[in-house]
Amino acid sequence: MTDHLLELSSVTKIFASGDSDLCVLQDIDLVLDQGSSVAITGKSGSGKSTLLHLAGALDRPSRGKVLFADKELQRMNDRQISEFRNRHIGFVFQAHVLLDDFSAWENVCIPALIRGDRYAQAMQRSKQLLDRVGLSERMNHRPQKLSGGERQRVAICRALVNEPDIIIADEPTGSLDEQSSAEIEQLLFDMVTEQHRTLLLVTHDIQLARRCETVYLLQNRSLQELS
Amino acid sequence: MFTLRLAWRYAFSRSNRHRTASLVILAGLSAGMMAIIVMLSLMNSLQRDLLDQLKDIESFHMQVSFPAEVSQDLTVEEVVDQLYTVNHVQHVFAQVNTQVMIQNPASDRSSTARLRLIDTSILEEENPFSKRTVWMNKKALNPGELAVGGTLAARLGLAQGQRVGVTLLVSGKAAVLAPMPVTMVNAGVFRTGLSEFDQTTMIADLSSFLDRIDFQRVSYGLYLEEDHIDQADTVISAIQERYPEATVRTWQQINQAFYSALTLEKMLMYLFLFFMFIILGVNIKNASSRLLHVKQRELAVLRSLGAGKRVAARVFIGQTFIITSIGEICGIALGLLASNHIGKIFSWIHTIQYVFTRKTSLLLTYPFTTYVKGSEIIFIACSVLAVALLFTYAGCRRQLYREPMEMLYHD
Repeated sequence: MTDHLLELSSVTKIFASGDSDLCVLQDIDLVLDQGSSVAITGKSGSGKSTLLHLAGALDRPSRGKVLFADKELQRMNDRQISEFRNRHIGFVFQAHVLLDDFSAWENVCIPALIRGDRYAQAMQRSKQLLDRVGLSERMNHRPQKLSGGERQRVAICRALVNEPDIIIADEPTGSLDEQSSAEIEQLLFDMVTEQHRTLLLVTHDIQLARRCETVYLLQNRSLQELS
Repeated sequence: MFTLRLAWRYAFSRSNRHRTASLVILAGLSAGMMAIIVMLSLMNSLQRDLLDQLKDIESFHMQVSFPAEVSQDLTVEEVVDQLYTVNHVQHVFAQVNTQVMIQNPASDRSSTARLRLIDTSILEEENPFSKRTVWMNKKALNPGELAVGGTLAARLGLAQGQRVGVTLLVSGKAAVLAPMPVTMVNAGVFRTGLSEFDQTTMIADLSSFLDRIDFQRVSYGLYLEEDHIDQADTVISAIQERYPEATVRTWQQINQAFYSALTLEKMLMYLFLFFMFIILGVNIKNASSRLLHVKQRELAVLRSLGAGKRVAARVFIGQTFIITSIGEICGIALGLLASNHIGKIFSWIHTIQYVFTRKTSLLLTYPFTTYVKGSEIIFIACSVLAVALLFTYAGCRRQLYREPMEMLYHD
């Protein structure tokens, strides 16, 4: 029994690539505790996003274990793993991937609706979050009508709507201009601090990484902690 | 509820690039359903009319006959009276059908024909035969008179009141059959709507021929109550209880070849429908696969937000359910509307054809009627929906069951 919230133990990920196999991660160990913030940096193609996907149960490791509160994710069935993603993980993708057919507030509502919340309840919560990130005037707009920074703020609200234990962000400011990046960074860290969430983020931006309690460098398929 | 809302958006959202595809599928389903309903209702009506004419005019609802040794001990009146006492029997007519040669001395034309010798009350009292018979210069048939089918009369150039020579074949003394010429008067011309009957048949009074015709050739035509025409088991049992030697044949048995042909035709039509469903299903499967392929990224996002595989499948199956249901409802409404106004529709088509070709079409002026069977519509609607859902699932299954990131990598 451990006190860790999320633990990756000897995780290896191999992708089949034609006739040969491509090993992206090898025997990775990573621990996240409640309220901690961890950044992972590394070169493009080093496997940072793959590591996040494994941590967020969006993919399965080839070897090793991913444990959430001592429960092994690979042993969960589809319903359990979906529930885990829905209730415990808030994922912010690099490219904000919002649903085009839905307005900003509807996009934010979706995880709550999947959880089974009442429509009015989910709507109220999403509107509060959008108001908090300064998008109350734009909540009825569809993603196509929003700027890159606005879309990313909507994506963050969507990740937070179910009050997850862990926020996983994959280069959340990667495609944004300097000002938008600063706003998003501030927003993420404010949310983590105020709501005592755990943050795991991948970034190329060393300044952003340094705002986290722990920084890892992913190199040659393994993690090194940076001082 | 959430999945249905999502499915609705995926099908018809204004911002959805595939809204047009959904609307085209919906329109196609509506048109298909409408075509099926109109085609079936036309075919049902034609079949029903044909079968009704057949059993009301040609063969009665049921016929009873006796073997020679039994019929010697019976009288026609006695049998008719006995058959009237059987439950659900409405009318009984003794009859003999015999092949004759007819000659019209006035026009010098002749033809073979069938003479139906029958109690002439069949022409006067209300019964299925008299309801379907239209008379020109109708006159009650007296002994020595006959009525001629319209087409036969025209072929012989026969007018009302003219004398005709009829040659019957009766049992001879030296030969088995011998010709017996009689002169009769054409008392009237009838039309029944059953063209075969009008081309070949004459009707005369049976009683005046009974002394010249073997009694064993007499059979008894029965008209039954509406509810027992097609389910006559109780009537057959009652007759056979009274006359164990009697042969009782229903209208289906009498017209077995024709009835089988119609049944086969109906089966082939259902087979044709089945193949239509399969084609529809394959199209739906392909459309679903394509739609799902395009929506893979969004599905991956939904999965990453916590939607299970089943939820994702339900969204796509729900989308098909919505599109198919609306398409079917529109198609059924259009089909019923078109079936109810089939005459007008043919008339419009006829007018348009005439405007362009200056030719009239006999087929398009035919007074088509339609007969819509609710059970058939329900069966077709359920089948189409089931095929659509099944093929949607088949089209989506493999893609839906991949891990979310596999979908995103693919994208």
